[in-house]
Amino acid sequence: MQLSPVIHVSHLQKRFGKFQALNDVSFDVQPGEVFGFIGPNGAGKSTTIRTLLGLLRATSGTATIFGKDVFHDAVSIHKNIAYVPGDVYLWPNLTGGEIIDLFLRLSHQQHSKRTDELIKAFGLDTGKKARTYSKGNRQKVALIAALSQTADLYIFDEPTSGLDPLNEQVFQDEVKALKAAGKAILLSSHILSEVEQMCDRIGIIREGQIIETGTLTEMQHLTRTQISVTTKTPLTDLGNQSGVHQLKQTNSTTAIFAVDSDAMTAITQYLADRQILTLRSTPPTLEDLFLRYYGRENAQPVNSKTGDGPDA
Amino acid sequence: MPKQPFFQTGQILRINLRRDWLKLLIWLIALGGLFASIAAKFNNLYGSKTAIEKITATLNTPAMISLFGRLPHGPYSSADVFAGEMTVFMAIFGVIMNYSLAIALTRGDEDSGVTELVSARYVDPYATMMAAISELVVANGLLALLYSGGLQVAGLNGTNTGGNLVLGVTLGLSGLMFGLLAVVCAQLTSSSRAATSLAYLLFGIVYLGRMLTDVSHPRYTWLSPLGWVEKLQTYRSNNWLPAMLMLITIVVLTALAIMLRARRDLNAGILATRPGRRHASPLLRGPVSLVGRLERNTILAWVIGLFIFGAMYGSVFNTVADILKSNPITVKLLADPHTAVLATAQVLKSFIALLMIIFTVCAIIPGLQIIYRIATDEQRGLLEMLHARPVSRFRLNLVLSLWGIVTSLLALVAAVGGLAVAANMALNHPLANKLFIHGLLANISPLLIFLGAGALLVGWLPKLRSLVWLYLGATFVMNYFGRLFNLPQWATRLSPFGFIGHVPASSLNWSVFWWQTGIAAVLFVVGLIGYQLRDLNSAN
Repeated sequence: MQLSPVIHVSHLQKRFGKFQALNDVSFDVQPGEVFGFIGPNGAGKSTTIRTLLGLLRATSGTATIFGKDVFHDAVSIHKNIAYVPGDVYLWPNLTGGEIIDLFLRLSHQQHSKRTDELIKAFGLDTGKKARTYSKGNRQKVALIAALSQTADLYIFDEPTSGLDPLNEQVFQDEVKALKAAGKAILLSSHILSEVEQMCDRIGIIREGQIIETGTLTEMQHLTRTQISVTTKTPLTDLGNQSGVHQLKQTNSTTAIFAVDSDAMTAITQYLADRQILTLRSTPPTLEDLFLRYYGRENAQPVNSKTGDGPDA
Repeated sequence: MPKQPFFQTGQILRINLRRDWLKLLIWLIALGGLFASIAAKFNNLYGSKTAIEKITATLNTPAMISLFGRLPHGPYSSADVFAGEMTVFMAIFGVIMNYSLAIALTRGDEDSGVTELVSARYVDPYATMMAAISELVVANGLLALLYSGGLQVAGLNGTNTGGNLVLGVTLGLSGLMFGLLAVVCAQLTSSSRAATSLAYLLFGIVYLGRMLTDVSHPRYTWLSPLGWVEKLQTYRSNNWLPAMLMLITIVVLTALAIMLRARRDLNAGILATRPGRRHASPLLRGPVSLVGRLERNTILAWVIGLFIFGAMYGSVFNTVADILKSNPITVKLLADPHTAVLATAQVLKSFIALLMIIFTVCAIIPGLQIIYRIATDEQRGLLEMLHARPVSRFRLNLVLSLWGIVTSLLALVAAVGGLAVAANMALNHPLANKLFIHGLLANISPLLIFLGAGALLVGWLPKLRSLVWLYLGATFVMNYFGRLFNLPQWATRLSPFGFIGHVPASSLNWSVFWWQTGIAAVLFVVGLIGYQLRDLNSAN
């Protein structure tokens, strides 16, 4: 590896009393990279992030940011990071403007022209008391404070859950600009289209364990492509071909099915033999992947590494 | 639409009771138990004629009248003494209980979003408020039952069922009345903190009204709703008129609350929130100024409030001094002007010593609240983003602790200052400033111990932090009644106030000051270490 990672997490475990919140979390985030962190509710995303911020003490394993221990060197790490939590709570009797300025000053920075641009872009009324803000507006306060800060690492925990599509777009553009500037970004999100579009690499967490990390292409390779096809001669024994799943046949020459990536060549050959009239292939979306990992139905192990699939 | 008004109130009440039962139980046991256990001891404490004469002589001094209210005319039975000593006191505790319950049920649920969730269901728009009021009715009803029942069982000398009923029921109604006042305050303001402040401001006014009229013109005590409980003539004519007045007030306040609720939006108050500044003031730049900015109004309110509280007590000092003239033994002494001044000074010094403890307990409240922000704000998720900034946990917690200490000290100085200024304006022979300063200094070390205990708990076991409130309450009760009950020394020494003596009536003990301050320092340090090491919870 040419560059030393900004975040390095290795076999991180966190236990709350008897509850094992994190079992085995390992991943790295490199400079200039957007790392997407996805998983269902309660899988341990926020616990991981809160451990990285030094709010929780890891039970075992190591976690470093800029090569420093996240718990013991929290203050010096925090000088160079910006964070937006999933649920933003603000002091009700301060205004949005006051809170933004305060947060910037706590990080030894100032309200700049950039801050004003962001306030304008997100359309926040900074003169209102925080108690009157909606969830989306509270999130904007946190986003403006984080984005107008100069930092080396940006951590976003479901930052857009309360934003309207226009503001979501503003956020995505800002993240792209940060990435272009060589910053490291950790983005936890439920909006999979957002992750798909913005993230270079993705980590999937389930029950406190990272079960998959890699680029979307790498992951897509691990799963199935959706095929919709019409042929001239009947597709008689399509269901018996290896690697074919969820077959739906409207008539003998038209079929919709999913195919394993490694069986693709064999199946295309099979289809070509039956003279293809129309063919549409849809690569799996992140949502398919996600459902594949977590969905209760059709759950199957995706690759040998993960062993057993999710419990049905 | 169902025709029944406030439909679903019963259902919401049931859910709320399931949630609040432990809190209610603790309040009922604490207040009912306190009342009944004191009643049970009373025949022993004040059974004999001489004991009764001694205590009523004390209770009839203006100093005691200012604290406990006025006794009816003698002769007195044990039951009379009990009613005279306990009525105003229990009414005050009733106010505290009802404020805490009422505001948590109305503004508290609104702040946390529970009201919004419930109101979106198939329920009457006023059902959540009516359920809150119903819960107050239940709590105060049970309390009235406990009070009356406790008195009936205790069987004081000179008691009668009518008196037991009027005392228990009126105390319950008084609590309910103040509970509804808090519900009204919750409609006016837009947060539970603001509602609590407004409610206590109103309470302060009626308390001072009661105190001032009690000492000078008892007829005017009718003007203060808190004074109504003094007009019961318990075990004499058993007057139900105050209960009637309270019922009427309760109905009026309920109607007012409904009316105000109709005129405001959910999550908003009648008093509108004004817009504020678009940019932070240059002063707001770190934890110190942040806490100052967040707490400035509260600190100001406490300092001014306690100054007035102290001044009001100071203003009755001349009446306290006058009492000596009505006592045949002291009249002789007073013939000699020199002894007269000395004797007066002695009475006043004891009174100052007692007031100091009350002031100190009051002064601890805002300081402890600020120290507890490290836990309450954590619970509300306010610190999540702050902790992600380069501000160490240690610094943030230390800043809160220091602000807490400074606030409590300021509040105490204000109370003592108010007392000293007003007392010396009222008295012909002013008291030396040294007396007030020594009284103040003696109470600083217990004050620090309470704040230190709070810092220790938020550092290690934030969930148990209410224990310090409980301890403070128990200390207050013990010292308020301590001298009247002749508590054994070990009992008074369960609280740090038990070690300082009755300064300025006794002399200031510096060694106690230093070892108590030392203990407080250790508590703070251990607490700060705990906060450094523990997991920080996310909002819930």
